[in-house]
Amino acid sequence: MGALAFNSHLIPGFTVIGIVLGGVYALAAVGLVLIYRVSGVLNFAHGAVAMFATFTAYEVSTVKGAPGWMGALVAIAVGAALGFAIEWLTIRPLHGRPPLVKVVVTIGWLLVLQTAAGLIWGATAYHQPVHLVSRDGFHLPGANVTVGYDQLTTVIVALVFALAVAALLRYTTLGNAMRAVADNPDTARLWGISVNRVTAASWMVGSAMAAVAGVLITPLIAFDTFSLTVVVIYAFTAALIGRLSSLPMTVLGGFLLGLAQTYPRVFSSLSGTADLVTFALVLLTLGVLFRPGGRKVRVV
Amino acid sequence: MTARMRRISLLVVAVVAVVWPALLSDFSRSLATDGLIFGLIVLSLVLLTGFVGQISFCQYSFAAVGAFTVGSLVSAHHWSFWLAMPLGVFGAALVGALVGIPALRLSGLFLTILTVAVALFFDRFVLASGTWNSFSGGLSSWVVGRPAFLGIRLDTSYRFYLFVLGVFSLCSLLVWNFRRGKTGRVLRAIRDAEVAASTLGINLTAWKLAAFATSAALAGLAGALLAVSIGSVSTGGYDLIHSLGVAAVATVMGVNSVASAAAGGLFLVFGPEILRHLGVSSQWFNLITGGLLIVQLIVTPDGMVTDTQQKIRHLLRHRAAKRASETPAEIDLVSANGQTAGAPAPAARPVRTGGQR
Amino acid sequence: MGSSSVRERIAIVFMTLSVVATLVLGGALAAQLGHPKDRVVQIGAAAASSPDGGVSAGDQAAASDTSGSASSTDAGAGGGEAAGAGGPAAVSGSSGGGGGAAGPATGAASAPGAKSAAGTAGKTTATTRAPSGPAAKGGAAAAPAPATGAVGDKGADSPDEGVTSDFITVGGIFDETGPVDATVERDTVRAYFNQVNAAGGVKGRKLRLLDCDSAFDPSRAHQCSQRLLSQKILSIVGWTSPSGEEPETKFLTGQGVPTIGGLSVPAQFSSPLAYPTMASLELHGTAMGHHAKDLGVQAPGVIIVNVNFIAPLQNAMLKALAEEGIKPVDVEQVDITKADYSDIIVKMRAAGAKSILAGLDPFSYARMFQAMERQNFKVPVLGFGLDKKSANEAYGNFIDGAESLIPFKEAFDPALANDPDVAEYFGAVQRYYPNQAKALDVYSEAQWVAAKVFVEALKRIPGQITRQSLVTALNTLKNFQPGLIPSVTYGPGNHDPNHCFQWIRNEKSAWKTYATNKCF
Repeated sequence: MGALAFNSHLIPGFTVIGIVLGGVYALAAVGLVLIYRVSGVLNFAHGAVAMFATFTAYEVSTVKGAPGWMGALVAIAVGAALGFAIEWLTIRPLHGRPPLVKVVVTIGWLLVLQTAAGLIWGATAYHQPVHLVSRDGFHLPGANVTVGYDQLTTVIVALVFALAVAALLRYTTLGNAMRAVADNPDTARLWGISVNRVTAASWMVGSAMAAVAGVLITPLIAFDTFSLTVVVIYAFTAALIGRLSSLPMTVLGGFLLGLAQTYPRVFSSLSGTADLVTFALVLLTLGVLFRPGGRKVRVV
Repeated sequence: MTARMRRISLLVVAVVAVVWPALLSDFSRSLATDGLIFGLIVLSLVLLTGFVGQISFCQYSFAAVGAFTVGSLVSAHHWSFWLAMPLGVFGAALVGALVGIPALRLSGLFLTILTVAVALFFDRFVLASGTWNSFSGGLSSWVVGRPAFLGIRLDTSYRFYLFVLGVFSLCSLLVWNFRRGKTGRVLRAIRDAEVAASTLGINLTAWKLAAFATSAALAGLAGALLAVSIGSVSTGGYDLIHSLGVAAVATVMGVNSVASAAAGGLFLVFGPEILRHLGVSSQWFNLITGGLLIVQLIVTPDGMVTDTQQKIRHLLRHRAAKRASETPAEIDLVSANGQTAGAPAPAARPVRTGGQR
Repeated sequence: MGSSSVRERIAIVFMTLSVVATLVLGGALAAQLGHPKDRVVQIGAAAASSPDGGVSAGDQAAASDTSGSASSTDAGAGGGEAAGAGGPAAVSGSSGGGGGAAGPATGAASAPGAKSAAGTAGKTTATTRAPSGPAAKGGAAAAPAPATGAVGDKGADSPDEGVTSDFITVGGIFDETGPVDATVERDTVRAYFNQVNAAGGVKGRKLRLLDCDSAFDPSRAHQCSQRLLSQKILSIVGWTSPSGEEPETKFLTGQGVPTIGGLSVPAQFSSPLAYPTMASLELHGTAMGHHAKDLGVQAPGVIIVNVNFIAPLQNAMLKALAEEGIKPVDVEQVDITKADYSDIIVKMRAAGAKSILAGLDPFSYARMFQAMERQNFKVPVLGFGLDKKSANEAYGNFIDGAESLIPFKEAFDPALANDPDVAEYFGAVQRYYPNQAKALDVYSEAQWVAAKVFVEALKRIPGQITRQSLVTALNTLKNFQPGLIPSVTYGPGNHDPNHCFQWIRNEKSAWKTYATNKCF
C-alpha cells in the first residue's frame, strides 16, 4: 500500500470523474466571483450561506414534506436574504476599510451561520439531503463511467450560471452598473450609479447562486454543517484560476481543480496525494496569474 | 502612560498571575495554562499582523511543526524535551520563512488565500498517514511526558503553569520590545508605507521573511508546549478551523497590542467554561465569537483590548491636557511611546492590514 | 510634576482596580469551576411516567449541554424531582464534605495526601502504585466514616472519587459534534443507568454519567479528561471518542482512573486500568480477512479510512488475507471527508476487483455504496459496523446482500427480536431515548456491555466503593454474562474478553445472523 503504480487506462474515466467534481467547484465558485468582483470581498462565508439555505430547503422539503422544488425556491430566497443581510449590516459599514477587514468579517459570519445551523438542526445527526434530480445516470462507454443526472446537472447549472452572469454583466443595465462599480466605485458614483444598491444586488445574486449550489451539491457530498464550507474553500482555487473576475475562466478553473484532485488517485493509493497536487495548483496559480505588477485583466 | 505606571501595573499583573492560580483547582490551572499557550499563538499573530500587516490563517500549521517535532523526537527517539523544543521552534521558523517567500510577491488577499492553502495542505498532506509517518506518527499519537526544568519535574499543574507563564511573559516582553525599538519602527514603516521604507534602504525581503519566521517560531513554541501540556500529539488538532478560530479571536482582541495575546488566550479557554457554567451549551461559544468578531470589526475596529488601552490613554491625556499645559513635550513623548504608531493625535487609527483592492 | 504624580496615582488605582475586578470575577468563576455545581439530575423513575415530553426535552438538554455537568436525561423528571435535585446538589456542591460533620475535615486531611499520591501516581502506571493514590484517599476517608453513620451494607462514601451517599458518578468522553456522532453511545449508557436506577440503584445509590464532548479534537479530549477528573468521577464508563481514546487512556491510567468500555484502541489492552468490552479493531481486521475466506471472496479491493482507531484493522486484515491465500487487487486509503467514491470504484473495477473489503465509518460507507450504485458495480461487499439503521437509510439499494460482522448479538436481527438480552438492550434505549433507537450500532452495544460490567463489578464490592475496590472487583469477573456477548472475564494482566464474532448479512434491510462464534 502506498506503492505508486501508473494506471494509464484509468485516465479517460478519471477525466470524466474529475470534470464532474469540477462542476461542483465551479458551481460553488460562480457566486463567489461575482461578489468579489463587484464588492471586492472574498466571502469566506459563501459555503456557510449555501449550507444554511440548503438546511432551510431540507426543513421545508424533507421535514415538512413539501416538494423539492419548493424547498429549492425557499433556499434561494433565504440565500438572497442572507446575502443582503451580510452586505447591508456588515460590509457597508466597513466602507473604506482595507479588504482584509471585510474578509475577516465574513469569517465571523462563517462561525455564526455554522453554529446556528448546528444548534437548529443538529450538528451531526444524519440529514437526508434534498434530491432535486434523480440519482440515475447514463453510461459513457468510452470512459467506462456512469455519470449521474444529479452530477450532470451540477456541471450544466455551473455553465449556465457562468454564462448568465457574463451576459448579465455585459448586456444589462444592472450588469453595466456592476462593472462600473467593480472598476471604480467612486467614479461609478459620479455617474449616478447607486453603489450601495448595486453592491447589495451582487451579494444577493451571488448568495442566491450559492443556495442553488448548496441544494445541488449536498446530495453528492455529506450533508452537514461544514462540508459545504470546505468545498467553497477549495473553490477559492477555481476562482483564483479565473483571476477572481472572469466567469468562464472560473468554470474552467473548477474543472482543472476537479481534475487535479482526481488524477492523483491514478498513481497513488494514499489520501493525501490529492491535497499535495491541489496545493501545487494553488501555488502555481498564485505565482503565475498574480505576479506583482501584472494588472488583473478583466475578461467577462 | 509613563514607564513608571506601566511598570507598576505590570508588577500587579505579575503578582496576580503568579499567586491567584495557586488558589484554584487543578483543572482551572490547566485551563489557564492552555490559555497562555493559545495566547502565544495569538501573540504570533500580533507580531505578524499587527506589526507587518500580513494576515495568516495557518498559525496552527506552524504550531504543528513544533508539536510534532517534539512529539516524534521525544517519543520515538527519546530525546530530551530541551533539545527537541528548540529544534521544533527552529523548524517552525524555517517553514514560516518558506511561507513568507511567496508572501513577498503577494498582496494581502492573495497572501491570505495562500495561508489558507498552507493550512489545508499541512493538515491533509504533511500530517496525513503515509506521507511522513516518522514525523506525524501515522495514525497513532506521540506520547510526551512532562520534562524537568532545572531539576524540578513539571508534573504538577501549578509548576507547569508557572513554567508556561514564564515562557509567555518572556515572549510577550520580547515582542513588546520589538515594537518599541528600532525593529518596531522598521516593521511599522514596512506595514504603512512600503515603498517609502524601501527608499530608505530597508531590506524589505529580509525584514518580511524575518517577521514570518519569528511569528512562526512563536507558534512553533506554542505547539511544543501544547504537546507537553496535553501529553500527546495527534493529527486532528492542527487544522484550518483552529487557525481560523485563533485568527478570529486575535482580531476581536486587537492585533495591535501585546496585551491582546493573554486576553485572547484566556478568552478562548475560559469563554466556553463561562458558558458552560451559565448552563449554556459550549457550542454557543463559536457563535458568540463570530458575532463578537463582526460587531467588533464595525464598532471597535482596533480590537477590544487595543481599544480599551487607547481609551485609557486618551483619558489620561485628556486629564493632563485639562491641567495647564505644563510640559507639552512630555505629553507628546507619552503618546509617542504608546501603542499606536507615531501619530500624536489621540484618535484611533484604523487597522491597516495591507493589500490593495 | 506634582499634578502628574496625582494623575499617576489615580491612573494606577484605576488600572489596579479594573485588573483586580476582572481577576476577582474570573477567579470566582474559576473557583466555582473547581467545585462544579450539580445541575439537573438523572433519575429514571419519573421518566417512565412521562416518556414523550420527558425524553425529548431530555434529548434537548442532553444535546445542549455537551460537556461537563450532569445532563438531565428527562427534564420532566428533573422538574418533578426538584427537591431531589436540591439534595444531591447540596451534597456534591461541597464535594469536599461527604456525609456530615466529619466530611470537610476528611476532605482537607486527605487532600495533601492525595496530592502527593497523585504526584507519584502520575509517574508510574503499575497496578500497585497507581491505585495507591485513591486508596490513600479512601483509607483516610474510611476512618471517619462510622462517625457519619454510613450503613455497613451500603459502604462508606468516597466523595473525592464520585461516590456520595446518593450518587455514584462516572464520566464519559464522547465525540458528540463533528464528523462522528457518539451521542447514541452516551445515551445507551444512560439508558442502562436509568433502568438500574428505576430498580433502586446500586448499593442504595443512583448512577449517573457525566458526559463531555471532545468534538473529534484530541486537545478537547484531554480537556475533557481533566474536567471529568475535577468533577470527581469514580471511573470512565462507556466512552466513545475516536479522536482521544488512545492518549487519554494512558493519561487516565496514570491518574488512577479505571476506564470501562471504549473503542478498544491498542492502549486499552496494555493498560492495567482499562477494561475494554469490544474486540479490538485489529481483531476485527483479522476476522474480516478470514470471513473473506468463508465467503469465498475473490480478488478483493480494499478500502480503509485513515482514522486512527480504524487503522490497526488494515494491517491485520491484509495479513489474514495473505494467510488465507487471498491477494487484494488494490488497496486504497481514503480520508473521512472524501465525498465522491466514484474514482475508487472505477479504479477497483479496472483493477479487476470482484469484491470489496472496506473498513470505514458509517457515513463513508454511505458514500461508497452510493458510488457503487451509480457506477453499477455490484460485487459482494464485506465491511464491519455496517449495521447502523440510521446510516443504512443513506446506503441505497446496494446494501442488500452486504456482509458485516459484529462481536456481539446483532440487535437489528429480526430473529433475535425476542432474545431477552437484545430485548433488554433495545427496550431500554427505546424507552428512554427513542430518537436514538435507529442510530444504535456495534459501538453502542460495546458501551451497553460496559455499563453492565460496571454495575456488576459495583455489586461485587464488599465495602467502600473506591477506584481501587472497583478495579479489584473488575479483576474478579469470571464468566460474567452481560447478555450481548457470551461471557466476560477479566484478570490481572488479561483485559481482553471479546474474541468471537457473528457473521451478519443484510437481507432486504434486515440484518440476519448466519454464523456465530467465529473466534480468533
